[in-house]
Amino acid sequence: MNTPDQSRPGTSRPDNIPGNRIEQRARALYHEAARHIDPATAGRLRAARREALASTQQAQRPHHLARWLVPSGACAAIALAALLAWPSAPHPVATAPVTAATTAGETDNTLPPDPEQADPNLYQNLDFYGWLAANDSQPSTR
Amino acid sequence: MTLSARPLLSLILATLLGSLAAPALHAQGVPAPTAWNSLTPAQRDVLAPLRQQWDTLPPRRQQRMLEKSEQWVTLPPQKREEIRERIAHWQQMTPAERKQARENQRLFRQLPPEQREQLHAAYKRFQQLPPDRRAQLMKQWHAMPPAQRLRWLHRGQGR
Repeated sequence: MNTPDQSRPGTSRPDNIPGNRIEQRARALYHEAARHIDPATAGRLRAARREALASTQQAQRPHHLARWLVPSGACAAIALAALLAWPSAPHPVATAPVTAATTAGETDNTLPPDPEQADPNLYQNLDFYGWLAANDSQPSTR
Repeated sequence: MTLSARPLLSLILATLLGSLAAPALHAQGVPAPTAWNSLTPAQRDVLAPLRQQWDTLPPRRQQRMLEKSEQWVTLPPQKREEIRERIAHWQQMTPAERKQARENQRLFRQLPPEQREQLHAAYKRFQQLPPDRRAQLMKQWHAMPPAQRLRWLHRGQGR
């Protein structure tokens, strides 16, 4: 007696099992009958087969969409993270030890350059104070 | 779905996801504005020349100034007053004057240390002179040809 599992199509079994012999006999009958089908019936069968395959592919479309959605989202997230991380890389400059050279450009002209060190008036008239310094070191030219 | 449509779909999805996520992620890196009243009295004192424009400044710039002011408030009162006056003087300068001052600052940094010391000393001496003597020196200076005015600084650079 066959078990339900043994009678399932596609399950590999030795040829001497009764279920397999029935399957072989059924296939032989099918092929014999198929040889005697007239062309019109064969055409209708082919058309029915095509329709069945087409409907199967339509049913699989949402699955394809889901299959592409995940990698697309992952790629977008990675690209976005890279884009956001790139301009934020120089941020440590702002928190680094403050030096006059780095802070001069950062304050965008709101603050004078290194106000702890020098009066903006010195930089504003640097050539004048340079001339004064030269005269101070050479009193005879004054 | 045809194969040729798949890359297009991926691109559209990536753009949509990116446009949805970008503002939220970008907002995380932007500091919140700091109200003038939330500054400490010492910070308000040293940054007083910026009081009128403080609330209109970008939060990042406010943050950088607060970082600097944290150092300034630890200085002696006289030094803090000096910095406050320098900030006030800077606010009165035109954009062209500020640009020139920054260029001169770069030039100053290229000078040898002893020449920078001489410049600082000359500046201090000039501030202590009586007004009429200052005016006399300025008049003498403006009477000189431009090339002669810059000779001393460029001599220092060429060392």
